[in-house]
Amino acid sequence: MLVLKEILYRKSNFILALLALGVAVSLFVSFFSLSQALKRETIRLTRDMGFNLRIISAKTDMNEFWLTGYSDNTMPQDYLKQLISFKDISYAHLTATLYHKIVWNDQEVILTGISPEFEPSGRKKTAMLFSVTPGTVYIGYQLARQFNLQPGDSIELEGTKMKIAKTMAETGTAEDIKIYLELSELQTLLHMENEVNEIKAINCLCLAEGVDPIEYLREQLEEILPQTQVVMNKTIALARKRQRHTIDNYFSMVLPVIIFVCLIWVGVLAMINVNERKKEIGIYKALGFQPFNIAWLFISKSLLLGIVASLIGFGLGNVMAFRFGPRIFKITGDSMQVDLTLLWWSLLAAPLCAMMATLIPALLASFQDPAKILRLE
Amino acid sequence: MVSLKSVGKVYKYKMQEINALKAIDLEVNQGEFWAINGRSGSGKTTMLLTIGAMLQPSYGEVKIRHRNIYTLNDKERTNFRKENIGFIFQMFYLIPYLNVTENIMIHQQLRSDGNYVSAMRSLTEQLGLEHRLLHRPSELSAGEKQRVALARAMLKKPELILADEPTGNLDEENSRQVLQYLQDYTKSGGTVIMVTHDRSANEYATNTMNISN
Repeated sequence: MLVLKEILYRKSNFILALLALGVAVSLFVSFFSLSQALKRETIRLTRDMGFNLRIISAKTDMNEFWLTGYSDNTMPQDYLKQLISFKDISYAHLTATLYHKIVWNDQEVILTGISPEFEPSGRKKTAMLFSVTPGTVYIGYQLARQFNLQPGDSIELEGTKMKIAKTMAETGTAEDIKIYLELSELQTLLHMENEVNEIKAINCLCLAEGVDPIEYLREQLEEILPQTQVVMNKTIALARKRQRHTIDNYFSMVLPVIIFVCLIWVGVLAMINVNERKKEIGIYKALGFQPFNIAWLFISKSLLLGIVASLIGFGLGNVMAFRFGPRIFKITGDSMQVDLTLLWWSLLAAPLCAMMATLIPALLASFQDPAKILRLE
Repeated sequence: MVSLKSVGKVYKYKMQEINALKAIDLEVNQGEFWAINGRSGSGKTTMLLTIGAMLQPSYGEVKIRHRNIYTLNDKERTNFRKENIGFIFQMFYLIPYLNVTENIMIHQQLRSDGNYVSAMRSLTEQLGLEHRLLHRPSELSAGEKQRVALARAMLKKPELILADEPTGNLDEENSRQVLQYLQDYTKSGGTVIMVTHDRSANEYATNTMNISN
């Protein structure tokens, strides 16, 4: 009652404090929502850098592997099933691949069969790689340019006529001289049923800090498929990890600074409020209010301030996140959702922080000497 | 009722000792209306705050109802003040955001207090404030403000009312009214100690005292 009346009387002090705390909450909510969207966006973008794990036969001559770009040794395609059925596997987006070099139109090309992607968790994830419909091929940029091939044209591969579904964009890598087919179709063409050269994957960034991912993946693979080995493209893997760390570090640095500044603001306003109310405190004490009663006047005000600020800040934070999110994050921006747990956190944290910021002014008020205040007049 | 035995207050300021109040003796009986006179800086307010259990004397003994109030701890002394003493100040000290009713009933904000609605009604009628109950202090005249402060001090019928220059900001008519109310209060059994430099206020008092420091 007293608190409400005082707030209505000294509106500007309350509004300024509400502004400070509301800004802190809204920045927390919007930053958090945007950081989640940024994480998802980063996952997608770094994931699109390509597979960073290649599982190949243990018999592979690694010198040859690096020279040719793939393993000449094949392994059963069933390995893929064995991998995805293993619990807690740290691999994602698994896809089986068969490479085979042939001479086509007097030129060496790499036929590449790709299987659909599988997720060990059974979760549906957006595929990283395209899939080729049986009876069609995707043709590399260099080959398409060299032989003037267009989508819809037909080519002959190992005596079978195939239709070009797509000509690939230039990559500046060996991809430009590859012809992509659906895996089982290529296996039939080459009479290599159930054989693959490699299983591509991406490692999940879910390992505890300090664990070397490649060592951990090798241990897992040793347990599931001892006849294989795994090679990691550390450049891609490190880029993914660093990018995620950068985001986490950014928010863990920026957010506390903003919240701290806002809380100092609330504390200073509470101090101004205490000074403004010195005479009032003096008379309350003269009338028999205990220090606790005086402190409660300020603390309960800060609690009320925190509750109102958390509600306003949550609304404002979401408005900001939903206004700017889709503009910033082109891939995942539209999938942003209101996170109600942030409301509960705000309702818990904002009153608590406001109370902490007001604690010193409240204690100073409660222990003011009424005789000193009243004698000064 | 109130007994001061050689009460003094010494402040220390920049290594200097300032005697704000020097060895005062005073015996106040129930129903008496004391007017304490003295010039500004003579220690009148210091003496009043000392009697009001708000300012510990540097030496001497302050007893109210035979109880040495400065042997009580802070909490007990605050409760003692709440139960037994009413205050009136020259500057009124009304809470600016509360209306007349709420200012008078400010004690009600402390949960342990009883219900004083009927006492408040009869007091406001007696003090001519019944048409001002929902007004804020900023909407009242100085005389009305002081009557609200009087009502606040008298609401719980404390045994002792301490008034610090209660007519200092009032015109003659309002001063006369306030002093009359205080006199009436003592006639109904209450005790009033008032400090003032207005000699005309002495006419309403049963006892006077002059302090000079």
